[in-house]
Amino acid sequence: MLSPETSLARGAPVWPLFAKELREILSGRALWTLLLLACPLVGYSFFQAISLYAEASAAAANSPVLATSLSPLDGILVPTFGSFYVAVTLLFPFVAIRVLGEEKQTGALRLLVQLPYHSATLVWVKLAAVFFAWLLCAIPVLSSAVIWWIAGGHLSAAEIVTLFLGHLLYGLLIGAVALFAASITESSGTAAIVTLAFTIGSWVLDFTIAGRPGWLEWLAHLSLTQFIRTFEQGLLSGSLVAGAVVAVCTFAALATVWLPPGIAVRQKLMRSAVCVGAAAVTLVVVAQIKASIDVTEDRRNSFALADAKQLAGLAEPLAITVHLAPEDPRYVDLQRNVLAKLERVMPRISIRLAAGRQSLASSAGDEAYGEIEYRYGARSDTSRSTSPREILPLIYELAGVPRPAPIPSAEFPGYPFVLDGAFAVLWFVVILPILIVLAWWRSRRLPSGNPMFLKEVAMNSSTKTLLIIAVSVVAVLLPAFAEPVKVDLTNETAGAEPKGMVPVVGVWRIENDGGKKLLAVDGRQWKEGQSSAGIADKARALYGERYAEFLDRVQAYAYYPYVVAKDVEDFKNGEITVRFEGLSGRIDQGAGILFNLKPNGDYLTIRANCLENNLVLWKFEKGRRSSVQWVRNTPTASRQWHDLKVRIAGNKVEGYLDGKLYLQHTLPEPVSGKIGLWSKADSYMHFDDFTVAASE
Amino acid sequence: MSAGLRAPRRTRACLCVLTTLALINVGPIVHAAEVPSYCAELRQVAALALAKDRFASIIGPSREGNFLDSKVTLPGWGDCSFYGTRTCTCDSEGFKTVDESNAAHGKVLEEVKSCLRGGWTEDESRASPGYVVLHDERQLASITINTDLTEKGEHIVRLILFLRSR
Repeated sequence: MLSPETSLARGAPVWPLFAKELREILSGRALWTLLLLACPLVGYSFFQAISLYAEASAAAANSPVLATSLSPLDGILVPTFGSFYVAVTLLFPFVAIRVLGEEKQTGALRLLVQLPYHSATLVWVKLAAVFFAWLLCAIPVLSSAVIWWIAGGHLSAAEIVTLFLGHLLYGLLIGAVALFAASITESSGTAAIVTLAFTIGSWVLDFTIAGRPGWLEWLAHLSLTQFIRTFEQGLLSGSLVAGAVVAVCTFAALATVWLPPGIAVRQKLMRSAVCVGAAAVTLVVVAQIKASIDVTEDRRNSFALADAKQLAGLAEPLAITVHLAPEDPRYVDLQRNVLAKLERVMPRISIRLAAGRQSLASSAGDEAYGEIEYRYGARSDTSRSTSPREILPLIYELAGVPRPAPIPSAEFPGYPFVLDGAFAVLWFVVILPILIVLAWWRSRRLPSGNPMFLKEVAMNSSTKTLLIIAVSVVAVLLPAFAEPVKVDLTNETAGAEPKGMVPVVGVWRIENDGGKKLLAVDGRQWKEGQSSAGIADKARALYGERYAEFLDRVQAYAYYPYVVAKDVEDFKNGEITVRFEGLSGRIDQGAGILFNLKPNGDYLTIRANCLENNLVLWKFEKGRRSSVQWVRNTPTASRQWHDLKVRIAGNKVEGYLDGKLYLQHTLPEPVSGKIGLWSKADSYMHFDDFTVAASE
Repeated sequence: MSAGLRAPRRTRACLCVLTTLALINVGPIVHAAEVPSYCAELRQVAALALAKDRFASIIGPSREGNFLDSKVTLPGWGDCSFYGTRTCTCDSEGFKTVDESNAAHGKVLEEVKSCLRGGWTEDESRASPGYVVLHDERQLASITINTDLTEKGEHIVRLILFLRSR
């Protein structure tokens, strides 16, 4: 597939060519327009996502079991990347087409193919430039993830990489299709229509025939939305990735075939047929790849570890015959909850849809409709269940193997998080668009000298443009989020437990003091040994899988009231401050900052006491309290507000009262754990301005 | 000689009178520091803290929260009660000023020390203004004496006797 004109010139450097393509993309309006349009689009989706996520997180505060269903992948990343997907689908073709369309329209292509490059090299370099353009277009959506992360939201590297990879492959595919469209058409406009027909046609496939039986179902699988959906579900499928790569290569090869002018159409058609044939064969081969990785933290695409291990060891083939129509919701459930997971884990499995050619309506008279037959070796059984809880024991019974004992593994705790979207709006509506316009303006002021020198391009234009954006992003984002995080009580309900803190032991509630909401611990009503209401759910929300250990310790040694800050996963370095006032308490009027809280319930606290006028670093291990350091003569009058601060730097701990450093201690190990507030016995205390300033 | 012999006799008589007068005046003070009016009850409570059944015999009905009534009250003290089964506490009468309560705090410390004598020692490493700690010789129980400001605005002295090991 080499151009006859260029076949003599192998090995010419490609960097100047790549630089030219970059300049071509950066000098056009399409890229910058896309970026500007993507800002509000992505920003609105991100704002909506964090608002909904915050609402759900607030609900989870009252019912911590709900927290386990809160995944940033579903709640934040997928909706935000979804808007990016729309932008790429509708607008990115115009960017990709430019790398070829302009040259065709101006006649520069005829000059280009005379340069000492293969046609394939020209196309691959253009595709590399398209890849670069896609990366630039991804800045808004990536910045949303950065905002979420810097603000303290949880992100799973594996999940975001998988999602990013899915969208990258999708973008490359759109770019390759656009290149192909540009290569077979004479104008950019026509190429855009062809590409949009491909992308929007894919949507049509998804909307109109998804869930239909027979060959329509197969056709629906070609939808690019379905392609993205797999990555959105956190499944890294080997066949899907390989298939996408094959598709990209095929369209690039087709573009290579159609790029050089002066070759007969018939010859191009023949070469194209060869390409398509080779691609079809390759796709059939890669479709056989069964390997896939469930990258989700909640293992939503997999059975429990013990079941997966047991099923993987079943040697004989398992044949499943499903008497359900594809559009039947029960089949959807069965497919998602059981069949897809079985296909991933079992080496020899075949699934047949008995009613595959029937619709839901036409299957109504079938007596066997709804049944699912399982045949393992010579034995078979039937069930109507779509739940793995019933189906897996059935399979184990057929295989003659016992149900496996559960393997202890980390249970998904859920990641509730409340983020104020005000900065996101500011970023996507004002700051980022301004940065993009500035970068655009700067790219238009570039020297228009010899465009073939990568160095000039790299140092003068794209690199500087990117650097400007990157530095601006860092400069704007970091100060915005380096601020200490203060637990905001303004939206709390007086008389109720705090939402931003998890009461573990004692009576903790929000109180209204002269119009201001404060956090109170009221030991007057509390009986020693009583943990807080709903402690099991709270322990699960805090420690997930290890909640049982934590719960045992709390229930066994509930002698000291404390609350845990919900949104601080692991505090290692920085400052924790709080204001407190001792209202009453015959036995104690203690106010402490709790830190280094481990899943086994051990923790440290530095506390002041209005009755004792001392500041003490206490250690709690297995429920037993021992003083680590005791500082006398720290005036702490009752019924007056005081400032308590703990500063942590690795294993060094400092305790301040009313701004004065009283306590310094070096622990045997660095601090690492959750944090909170602490009190003792019948203390009735007010707390306010609980502020956490974590540092690296 | 006689005058010389009389003089010492007068001197001795004067000394006797002066000593008697001194003892009459100082006696109550010395008596108060050595044997406070609540000493017997305090010794009883302190002894129970170190006994097998602890405070079980003197714990009364439940109050609000974690508090329980006490069957033993220290004379001159108010609101004696238990917090749980391991901590006994009594409040002094109310004082108008913090100076008065601080003076009373020092007085109570001396009274308690003199009442419990050698069995209990002050832990000066834990003391702060308005707060002292005494431990029994086996370190099984502690007494704290501190000052506090009540919700009524009265300054008081509080005595707490509690079991240390859980």
